[in-house]
Amino acid sequence: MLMYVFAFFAALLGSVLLCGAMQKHHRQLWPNSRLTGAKKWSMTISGYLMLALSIALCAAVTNFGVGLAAFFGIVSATIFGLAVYLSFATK
Amino acid sequence: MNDSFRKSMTWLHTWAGLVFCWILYFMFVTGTVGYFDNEIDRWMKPEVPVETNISIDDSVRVAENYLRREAPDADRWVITPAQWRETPHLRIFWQGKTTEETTENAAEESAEDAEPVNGNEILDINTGEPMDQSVRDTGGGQTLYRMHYILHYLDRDIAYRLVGVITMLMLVGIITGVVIHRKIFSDFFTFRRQKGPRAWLDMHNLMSISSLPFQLMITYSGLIFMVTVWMPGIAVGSYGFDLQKADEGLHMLVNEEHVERSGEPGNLVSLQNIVEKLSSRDDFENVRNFEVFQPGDTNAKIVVNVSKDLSSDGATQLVFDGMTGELIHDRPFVKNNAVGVAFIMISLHEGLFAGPFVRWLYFFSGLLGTGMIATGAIYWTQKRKVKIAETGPDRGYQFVESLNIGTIVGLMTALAAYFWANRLLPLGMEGRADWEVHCMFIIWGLCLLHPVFRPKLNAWMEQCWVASLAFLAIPIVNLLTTDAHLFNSLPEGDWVLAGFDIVAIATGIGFAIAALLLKNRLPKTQIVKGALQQAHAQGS
Repeated sequence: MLMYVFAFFAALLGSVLLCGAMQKHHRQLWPNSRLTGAKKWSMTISGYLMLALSIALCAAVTNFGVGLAAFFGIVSATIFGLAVYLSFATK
Repeated sequence: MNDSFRKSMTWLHTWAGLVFCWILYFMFVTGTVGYFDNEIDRWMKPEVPVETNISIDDSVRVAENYLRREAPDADRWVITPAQWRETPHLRIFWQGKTTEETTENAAEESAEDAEPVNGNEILDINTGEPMDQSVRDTGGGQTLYRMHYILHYLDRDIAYRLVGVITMLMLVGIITGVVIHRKIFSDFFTFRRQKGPRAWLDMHNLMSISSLPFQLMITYSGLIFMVTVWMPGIAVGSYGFDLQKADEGLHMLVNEEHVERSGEPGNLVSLQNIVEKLSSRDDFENVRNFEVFQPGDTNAKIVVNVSKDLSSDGATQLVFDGMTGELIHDRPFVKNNAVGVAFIMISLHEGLFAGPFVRWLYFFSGLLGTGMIATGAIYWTQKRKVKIAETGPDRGYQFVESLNIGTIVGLMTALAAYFWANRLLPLGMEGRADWEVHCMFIIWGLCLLHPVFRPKLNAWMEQCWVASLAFLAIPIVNLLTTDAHLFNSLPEGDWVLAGFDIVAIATGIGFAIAALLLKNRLPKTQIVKGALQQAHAQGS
């Protein structure tokens, strides 16, 4: 169970990083920050790495098959939650 | 991409999505709720005692004693230990001679020998005797879950075919949706809630894309589920029109034991010995059930089905000699890779392998799918709203809007009515379980009628209030009629019962918020109404 919680936060962080690597969302998340090319790439790569970490953590709970099913559920929740947060909590 | 192609895909997406979307919504609501079918069963049968922490050892011992006493000459026993979510109680089943054989041999047998043929019991682990579950006749979560593919009142064959067509349209909707979404990646996290009809489209897109893997899986696996019903040509192509031959062919794809009697009575090895042998295996905890073929004969065989990974219904099959207890086979259940893939798809669809956390994720993904259908149907009307304000309302538009209100909110009220009926219908009532369902559909029918006679925005708001009250009152009705209420379940840490009431409260609050939001929008309706009246006046 604890592993799933870690996987959830890894996926959430990955989603935030991938979202932040997009120009329009970067301004929503960090209004005072400018998205440079280097920042965009580092956020994209680290975002995907966090998602990969989330898959690994999910797989570690039981096995890869069940882990992958859990990961897709987790990532649905993080993407949906993040998009709703962006809409309600930012300009 | 070619614009005309995208336009035709948009047309296909719109109409493939809309035509049966209300039935699809019903399938999604009942299917999503079905991920907690056993938990709903528990809430709807509060008088049935809960048995926890029962070892496989104890389950097998109690079941074996009962079966040796009550059905020693049966052809087959099945023992399902009480350890899984879907088998909270020790369940046994036995199968005797077929009715036909019994009738043929009736003259030679005494009346006592002829009875009983088959049996199916839930055993009390403490007394070793059948448990009385008849206090409250209810359809429970199982009836609710089955509705998503049998559509309840329809004939099975018609329902399966209709569900097949709708599922195929859903698959078309998903694929065309991906094709027509120009900015699928850049709009990944986009929800512009202030932008009128665009907000509904954004929410529709967000719900679809965030849960796209789930939607694809659930739709495709839904089609796989009854592929031979929906595509009978596959079986006919291989086996001709001989249904029995096709059925035999299907059985050849999996490992099944067919044990004939030798005619010589034999002493079945103690099942405790088998459990002892299994206990040294890594997958001992994954044992699903025990099957004993011809238990009183020298040819007796014992089959143990063990789950593995996603395959919760038994991926590994262990076959033991019934006389010596010697392991004869340790083999996978399926013989054919294609069937193996189909079984994995079915397992993914049912989600029986899922523990509590993954089960909640399944439930959440199901809610996203439900929301995707609802927002799609609402967007259809929102997009046409401005045009309608100019040209005047047409019947098609009003029909869709009424169905939207009566289904999207009304079905939820009907669902609450199903739970109310479980608590309020007299316990001794004849056909009680059926009437629970009748109550649900009567309320749904009323909810479908209501928007026909009311201004649409008022109807949305009123139905949201009714749904809110219906759900918020569930824990109160529960408190007044049973002991399984929050004041008992919370202190006892009974999260299945408490969780049900808490979800009901959360749903009620959700609908109350929706009703308040709609109330704030009511003045704007007057403006639209005014515009409509003006347009009519100009037209005439």
